[in-house]
Amino acid sequence: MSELADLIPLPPHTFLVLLCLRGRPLHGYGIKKEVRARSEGRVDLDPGGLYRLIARLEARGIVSVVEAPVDAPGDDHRRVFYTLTPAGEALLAMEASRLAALIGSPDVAALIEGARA
Amino acid sequence: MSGPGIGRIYGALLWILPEAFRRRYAAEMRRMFEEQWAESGVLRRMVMVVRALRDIAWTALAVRLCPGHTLAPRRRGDGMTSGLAADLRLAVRGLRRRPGFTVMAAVTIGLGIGAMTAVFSVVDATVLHGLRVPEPDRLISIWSRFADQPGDFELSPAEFTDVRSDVRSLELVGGYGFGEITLEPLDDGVARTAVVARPIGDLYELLGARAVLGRLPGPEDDRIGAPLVAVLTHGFWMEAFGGDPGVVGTRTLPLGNSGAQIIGVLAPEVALPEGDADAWVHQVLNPESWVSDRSGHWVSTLARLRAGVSEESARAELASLERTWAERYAGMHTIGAHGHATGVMSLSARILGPTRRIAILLSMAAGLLLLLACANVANLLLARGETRTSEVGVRVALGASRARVARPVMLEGLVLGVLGGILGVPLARFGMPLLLQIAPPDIAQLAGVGVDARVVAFAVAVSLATGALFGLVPALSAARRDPAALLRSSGRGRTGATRGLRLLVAGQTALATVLLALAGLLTRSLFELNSVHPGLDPRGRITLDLTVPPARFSDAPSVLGFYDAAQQRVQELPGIERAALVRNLPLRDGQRREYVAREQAAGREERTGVTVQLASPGALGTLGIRLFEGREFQNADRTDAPLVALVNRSAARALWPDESALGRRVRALFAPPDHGLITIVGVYEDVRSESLGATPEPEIILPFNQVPGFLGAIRSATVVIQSGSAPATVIPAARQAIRAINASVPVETATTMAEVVRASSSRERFIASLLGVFAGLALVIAAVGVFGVVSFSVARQTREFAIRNALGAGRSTILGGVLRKNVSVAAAGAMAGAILALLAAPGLRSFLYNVAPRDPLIMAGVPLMLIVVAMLSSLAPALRATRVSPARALQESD
Repeated sequence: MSELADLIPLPPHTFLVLLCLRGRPLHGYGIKKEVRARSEGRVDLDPGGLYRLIARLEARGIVSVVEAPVDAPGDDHRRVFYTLTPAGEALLAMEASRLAALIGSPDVAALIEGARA
Repeated sequence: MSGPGIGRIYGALLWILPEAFRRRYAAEMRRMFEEQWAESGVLRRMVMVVRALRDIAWTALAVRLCPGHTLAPRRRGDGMTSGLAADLRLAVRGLRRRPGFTVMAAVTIGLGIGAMTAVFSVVDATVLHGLRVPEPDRLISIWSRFADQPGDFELSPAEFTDVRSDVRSLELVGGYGFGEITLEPLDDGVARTAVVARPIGDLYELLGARAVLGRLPGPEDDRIGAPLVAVLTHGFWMEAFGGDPGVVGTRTLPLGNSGAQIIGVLAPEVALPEGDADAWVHQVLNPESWVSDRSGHWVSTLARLRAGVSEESARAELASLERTWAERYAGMHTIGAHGHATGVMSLSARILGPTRRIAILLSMAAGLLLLLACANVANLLLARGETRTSEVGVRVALGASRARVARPVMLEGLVLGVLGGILGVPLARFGMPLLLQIAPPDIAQLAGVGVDARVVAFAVAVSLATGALFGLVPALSAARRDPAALLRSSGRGRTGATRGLRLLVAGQTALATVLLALAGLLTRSLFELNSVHPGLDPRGRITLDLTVPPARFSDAPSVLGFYDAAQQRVQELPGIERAALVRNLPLRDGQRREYVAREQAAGREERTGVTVQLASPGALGTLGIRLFEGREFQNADRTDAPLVALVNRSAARALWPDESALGRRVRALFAPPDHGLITIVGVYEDVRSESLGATPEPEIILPFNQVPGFLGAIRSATVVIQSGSAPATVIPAARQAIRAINASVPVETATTMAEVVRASSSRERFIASLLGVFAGLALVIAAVGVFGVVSFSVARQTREFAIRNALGAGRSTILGGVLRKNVSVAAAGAMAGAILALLAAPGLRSFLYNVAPRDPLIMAGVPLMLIVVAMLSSLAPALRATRVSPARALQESD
């Protein structure tokens, strides 16, 4: 687990990708689309960039390849789907609580209030 | 491009990725790319291509540099040497080891990229960023057209007013007219003529005009009776007033009774879409007085369509407006044979249309040249690849993957592409000024910006793309090898190995043929144009422009008196044979179009459209225009004498087809009603006044001294001087002589008639020269390509030649054999090129004068020339084959 802690804080793109993979397997293009939707179009991953990231995450046991989900459209069954490993889930949770703590601190909360006002 | 097609290319590019990474992810990456491609529009796809190149290059580098991030390598030995950096080193080392090859390849590619870059900067300026106005896509131009007169006319003030108030599809409607004013000598003692535009309506907003100093005219200046106000263009402010900010609010321009107050200076980028002006003098829109003016057509009109409204609906509205006019102003707006109609066209198509066609032609030519350069370098690389087959064979046999073998070859291509770009960009940068020197003014003005960051970015993209393109062919060929076959064939000449090379030679010859044929057509057309007799004799003719300021010359007699004196004084100068004045200089100035009618004409229907010229006595002789019948104007043809005119042969034919024009009389429909009948006293040869390529129109010349109509028509004139002396001595003397009469009259634009004739075909010369240069380069590149391939194939067959020589084969047999084999390949290419050229040539029709697009001489001559060039390029290596000594055969066989 300590090895995982070294990875915190996660780069924003990595966090987004892991978030998208939580709870359901996706293939590369699915991840790209989901990331784009979640970031409101601000993050648009190129194939090379995405698979470089996946290669790193795979090497560290954070994501892994899974069978295509049974409900995937016919054509997608031949695709490679990725999902979070238990270590990946833990890493995502660590990063999420780090962010939550950060946002929860009074001065950041005040900033957010200020922006809303 | 189709999804699978682009997917294949993308997949091929993925080869530069490290093998472990590629094996695991490449298929998914490609699928992802294809899916996105399928879901994207054209623009998005262009972005995707650029991003994909960057993404793949970056991934290759990143995965290489941080191997810990990827999976462990599957095979030992894939460590150090498998790195992209190592391959790059290998490629660079390989290129450095053969400097001759490298320099030649880089120069070839550099020429192609240079040509492409230079042309792109023209395309960028004309096609991509031609109109520097807000909402250029919604701007339209509106004009009048008369059934019996060629060309477009401006709107009349009344029509402009109606269009502005009645056409609902238009959001803004603005216009402008032109005038000239004369500025008193400024600090430098030189009197100047200034061209003023008279903006009306919403022109400022339409053009996005802004002032850098002072203000633009506002509603307070639009009241009827408001004092005249003017804004200076930036260039004129700098030129005439030295950029002095003090002129705003203090100086006036001489116009009207009390002058026009200068209230501001326009920003440098503000310009009228057509025509140049030094200052804009605000024109008050006065519907009261304007509604009656339906005959004076001087308002150049542009308008902005309402958002979402099409050009079509504006056209429909204008058509219904025309019908209203036809009912309300019968006789003025007849629709039909003699009537007049309004036309609508998008402003960008109208202004940039002709330039765009040139830009497209030039880009295609430059593209062909670049393709040819790529083919040539691919050829050279491929030939090198052939000589390395044994090396490749050993590496493959030892277990190197195909990608590993192909990658250095591909990288060599990329490195050469980059080297070519490094050579090509400065070539474009320094070649552009030369190019623009021969460019016609409209292109030169637009493309004046030269090579900027966008152009360099384009060049970089082109360099990488070409590098990848010609690197790919040999890389594929290297990767496809069967190691056993490679080893077997090591060191031997394999028949069939050169098939790819031959195909490339044929392709090169075809491309060169197309370029040469197109350039040939344009050059022939230019020769045809230059051999047209303009109808006048430009030799030894010098011209000077005069504009007489109204402030000093308030009536016609004073202007005419000045002209007489000017003609007299100049004629008396030493070394001058004769001098005369004309209103519009042929081949340079626009001609004024009007109507005349024969004396016996029944009514309006029998009028004849003519261009009207004014001239002094002796003008025909001074310009070298042949008089067929009758006489020239004489000094006696003055106001009080009978009215006289000269007509050209076209006008004589149009007015009196079956009889001599001499002594016949016409009525000038543009003159006041009390102007009498005019007697034709002479018939002269048709002069190509409009352009060398245009058929002469009917023309009538009236003497300055008997000009009907308004005084403005005689305010400016051109002095034509015939002299055997050099222009450099004649011009200052003539200038001096005219200044001595009255220093407030500006004497401007001194040039020779030969220069005027030359400038009139500058567009044609520009296109022909540029294509000529491209074609010349194409010929050299193709010749080098053929030479390289034949040398290579002869070198490979050294052993065979040695044996044949030893066995006593005649020199001519061997020579013939080599030539036949190679020249037949080039001939096939030349034929294919000729077919392509025949298919493409009709697209050139609008650029050609007096030459058929499928001119048989060129379509047959060019391929023949290519075949001869191929034969000459093959000759030296073929001769070498005949001299191979039998002893070499033994050495070659190890």
